[in-house]
Amino acid sequence: MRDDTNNPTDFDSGEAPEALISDLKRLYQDDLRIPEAVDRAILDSLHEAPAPIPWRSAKRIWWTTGITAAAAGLTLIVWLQGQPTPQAPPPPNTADQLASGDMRQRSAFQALDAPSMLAESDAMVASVKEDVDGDGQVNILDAFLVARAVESGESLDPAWDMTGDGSVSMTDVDLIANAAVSLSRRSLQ
Amino acid sequence: MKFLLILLVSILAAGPGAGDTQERDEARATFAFAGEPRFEAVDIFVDAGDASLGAYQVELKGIERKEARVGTAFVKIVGLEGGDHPAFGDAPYYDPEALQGGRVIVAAFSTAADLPAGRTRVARVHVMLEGAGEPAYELKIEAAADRGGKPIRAQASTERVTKEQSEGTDQ
Amino acid sequence: MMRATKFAIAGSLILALGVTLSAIVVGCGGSNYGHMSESSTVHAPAGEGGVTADADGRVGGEAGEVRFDPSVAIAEEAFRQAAEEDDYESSFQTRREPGIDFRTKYLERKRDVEINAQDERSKLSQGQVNFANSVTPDSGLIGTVSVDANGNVVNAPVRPRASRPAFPASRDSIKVIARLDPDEELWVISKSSDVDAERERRVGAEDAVPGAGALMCIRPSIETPVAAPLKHTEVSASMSGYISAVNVQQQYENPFDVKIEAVYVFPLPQNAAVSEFVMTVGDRKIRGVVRERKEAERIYEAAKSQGHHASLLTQERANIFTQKVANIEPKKSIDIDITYFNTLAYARGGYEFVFPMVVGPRFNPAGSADPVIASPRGGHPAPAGSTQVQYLRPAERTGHDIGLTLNIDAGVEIEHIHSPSHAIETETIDSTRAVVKLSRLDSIPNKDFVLRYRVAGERVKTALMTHRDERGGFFTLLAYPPAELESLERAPMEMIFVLDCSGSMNGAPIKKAKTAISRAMKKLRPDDTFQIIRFSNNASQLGPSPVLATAQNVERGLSYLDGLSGSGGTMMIEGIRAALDFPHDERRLRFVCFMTDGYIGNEAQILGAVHEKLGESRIFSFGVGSSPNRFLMNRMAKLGMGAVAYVGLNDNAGEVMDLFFDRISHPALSNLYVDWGSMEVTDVYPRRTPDLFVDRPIMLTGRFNGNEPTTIRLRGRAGGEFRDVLIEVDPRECEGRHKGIPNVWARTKIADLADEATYAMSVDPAEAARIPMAIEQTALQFGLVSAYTAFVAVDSLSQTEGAYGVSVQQPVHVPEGVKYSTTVGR
Repeated sequence: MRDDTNNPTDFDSGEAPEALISDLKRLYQDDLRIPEAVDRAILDSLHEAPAPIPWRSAKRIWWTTGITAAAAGLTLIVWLQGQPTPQAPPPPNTADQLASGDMRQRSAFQALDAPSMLAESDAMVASVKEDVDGDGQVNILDAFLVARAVESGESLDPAWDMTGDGSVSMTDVDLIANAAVSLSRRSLQ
Repeated sequence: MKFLLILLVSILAAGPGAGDTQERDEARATFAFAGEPRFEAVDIFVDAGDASLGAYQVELKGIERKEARVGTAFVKIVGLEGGDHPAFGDAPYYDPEALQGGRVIVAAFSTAADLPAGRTRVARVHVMLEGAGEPAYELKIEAAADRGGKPIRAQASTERVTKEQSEGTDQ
Repeated sequence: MMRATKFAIAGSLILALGVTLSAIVVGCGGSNYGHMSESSTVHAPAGEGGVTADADGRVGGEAGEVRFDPSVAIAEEAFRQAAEEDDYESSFQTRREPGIDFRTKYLERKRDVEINAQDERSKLSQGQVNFANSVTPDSGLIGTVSVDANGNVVNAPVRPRASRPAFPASRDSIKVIARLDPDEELWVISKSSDVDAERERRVGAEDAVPGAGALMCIRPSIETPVAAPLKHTEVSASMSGYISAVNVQQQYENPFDVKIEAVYVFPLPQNAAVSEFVMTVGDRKIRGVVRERKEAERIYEAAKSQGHHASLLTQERANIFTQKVANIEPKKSIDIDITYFNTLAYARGGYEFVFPMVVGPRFNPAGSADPVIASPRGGHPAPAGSTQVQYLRPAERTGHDIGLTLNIDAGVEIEHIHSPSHAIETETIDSTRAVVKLSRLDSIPNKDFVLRYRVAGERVKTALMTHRDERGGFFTLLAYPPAELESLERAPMEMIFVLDCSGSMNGAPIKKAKTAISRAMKKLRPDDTFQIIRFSNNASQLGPSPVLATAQNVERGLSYLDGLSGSGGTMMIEGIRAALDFPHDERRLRFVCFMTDGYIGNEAQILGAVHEKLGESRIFSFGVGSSPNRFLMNRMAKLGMGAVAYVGLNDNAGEVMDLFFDRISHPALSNLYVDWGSMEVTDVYPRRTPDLFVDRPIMLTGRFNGNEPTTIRLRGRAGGEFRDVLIEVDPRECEGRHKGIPNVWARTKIADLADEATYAMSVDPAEAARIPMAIEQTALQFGLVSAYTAFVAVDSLSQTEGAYGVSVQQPVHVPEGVKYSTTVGR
């Protein structure tokens, strides 16, 4: 026994003995050599045409196939006849999807740990702003409040600037009033 | 056997044609009503009592239904008009999307000095009726305020108006 | 088994035979219209265009007859009777009445036909053209023009037939035209009326342009002429940033003693989002509602038939609308207020506001599915399925004027305001706001109103405008090209000039176009190539392929250009094919410059061809004249990834071309890709991002979520390299609630879908079938008028007496610079 690398128990050096390595390889090595005759026989068998199905079996197969196809066809006909009026495709439709599919972008810029205003729906953000009188509802009274202030020349709260143009005017009133009568807004509340 | 297969294949080929596009399109068409459509108006009244009415908001149901209801006519909105009093003379706010079904919110305000008190017609909804039966409107007041913007209690009601009835009033 | 098989086979054969027979019967049935050949044409002298004949000179189908009668029933009857008589050819008579030309344009099978008879031949025989003299809706005189075997077209006025009481004696003989060759077109024009003839005789040369006077309408039952029903149009607009909100008030007054229905076809900007509609009857205002179009029409017709005041606003094209107002009582008036939003165009440091005032006359080539018909005032009503615009004769002037007030709030300092089209009065409020009014001296509504105002600063900051409501977030982004594009050299180009040489271009428009092309040719470099293509009834070109822009070739090209003139129809499809069908030289950028007034009616076919054949080309459309078809011009430019420019009659054509050349002399940032940063963006339109040219921002609109400041990155190719345009935005700072933004987005989406519809059938029929529903849903959701939705308003409490009266179509002026004679009739 050699006293360094051949010591089978000494793996502290990280190297197995060479003899061990070669023995292990021989032991677990796959023998990929296939005799040529066997190879040829296998390939020949792949090229052979499948054996004809016995007549009785073929007949059975045809009948089964035919009946199955007919049953499927008749079922389809009955189903089509019974279908209700097709509904209009729900928006957004394929055109929208085509439009948006390649435009939806998320950038690496998006800060994952930023306080997320995205957690609220933008619709709720919108309705809070229009609730000028702070009663928890957006209705015509909010528009009325701003309209009175605009017309009378009273001081105007910058928060009433709905358009973001830096001033409060009847345009802002109009926006609030439209929000007040909007049915879509109601479905969110 | 072969004949049976040919027959079945023929039926399969003809099948989709049986439920053809034309029939489906006809099924999609709006209901066919007996008789001509008729037009009338629905007046919306708000009674603010002693207060001067500065703003109102109501919800009107019973219009633009999609489903049939026995004995009840179909109602389609064909116009919106303001009220009697000049303060509410302009057509009110409403949501165009509401015409897609069931109900509509109507609202208006006025900053005019002269405001109506008591029961006043604030809006008129012009409608087209189809089908047998009468319309069934429901009205609910959602908000009302006096001239200062202070919320007030108010009653809302509807009245159906035909041409003959209107001739003595607002012509 | 054998017998069963035989039965099956026999059944199949019988079925097939039945289908075949049915197809034959259907194909042969009906009027002779169905036999009109579209594969060959016969031609009249230059200036006219018309009906087709086969290679033997035979006009029309198997019986040799084609009818051109707006009253189909009359023409059908005439043909039926003529066909029954073996000897109708032998009844030919010739008459000549000097000084009378028969002119009326009317449509048959979607085709404008006119016969301008100036000559007379005595021989005839194979093939006849029957046409109607549209005197009044009732007269329907049928004249006959025959074409002999030599292609001679001769005059054969019809005999009056007792069985056709509607046809008076043939006093208005039709003279004939020159020889008709195969593949040439024949235009048939018939005289309108004795009264009109008398008026025409009084018209002198000085009446070639609209002049003073009021439009007087003559109705068959009314002796005294009366003024037209559209009394006045008042336009007031507010411009905030690059979005304008415009209110158009039309005042209709009934001058007649019977109640009437007024019908008015009018233009609006092609990107207008019409969102409000109010009918005012006396002191009562009734707001209309948007409905599915057929439903709205049904409601309107029901209300009209029952005598109610009612109004209906429908959209015929993106830029053409029809307003109907029913049951206007005698001497009473009804006002219609329409409100729309649209975006302003931006170029050369300034914004441009356009209010179109006239629908230009249209040419509808063979097979147009939805033609726009030009007819003289008082002419026959249009066939079903078409849109008719009635034009005033040169001596007539509409009684209605137009008032226009614009409130500009630019947000930045305004440097200069001017209108190249009209006289204006400007009042400056402060450095960023102004009020502009149309001068009273210039209120004839026969040309588009154009206002341009320049704002301060070398470059306007990229503008993101947002709006949020319960439906979510909407944005519009106006993005400007980077400054460094200006310093890059362009690659050699292949310049294809396509010039419209149709009749409507005759005169000032074609002169302007030729000036522009000449200017461009002189700016080409020797390593550029060019080609000149002209089209009217057909297309031809300078040479078989583009040639290098050497001095000699340019000279030859200028000489060829100089020889071109305007006459004939507008077969723009021929021009497009000629321009795009030949192989592209990949070493060069191909620019196709279309010079046209766009007076055609088959826009869908044109746009489909552009989409199909564009390839690597870029199309630049130049709208020429006082009222070019801006819808078509803009769409061609958009689909063609190019741009549009307008050469008005008062514009310097050379300068317009200089600007175009400046633009294409620097490479664009092309094949753009947009990274929207943290804005979660969907539904962006246009779906194909246009190229970013120097001094030409692009506008994108879409929906978004997100509130964080972010960087939007536009990446594209320029000068062979990829380049980025970075735009820092903060949605919170840009946030506003301009209620026009959602409407602009919805309108842009609808326009994009509509454009897709023009070519989708050939690409994806299933998708094409869904487009109308998608448009309808979007329009209903946002309360907009579209091709599939309409505004309707009914006053249920005002029920007028009697039958619903007669329809009076509001005639309009022929646009300035367009010759009445070559596009409508004398």
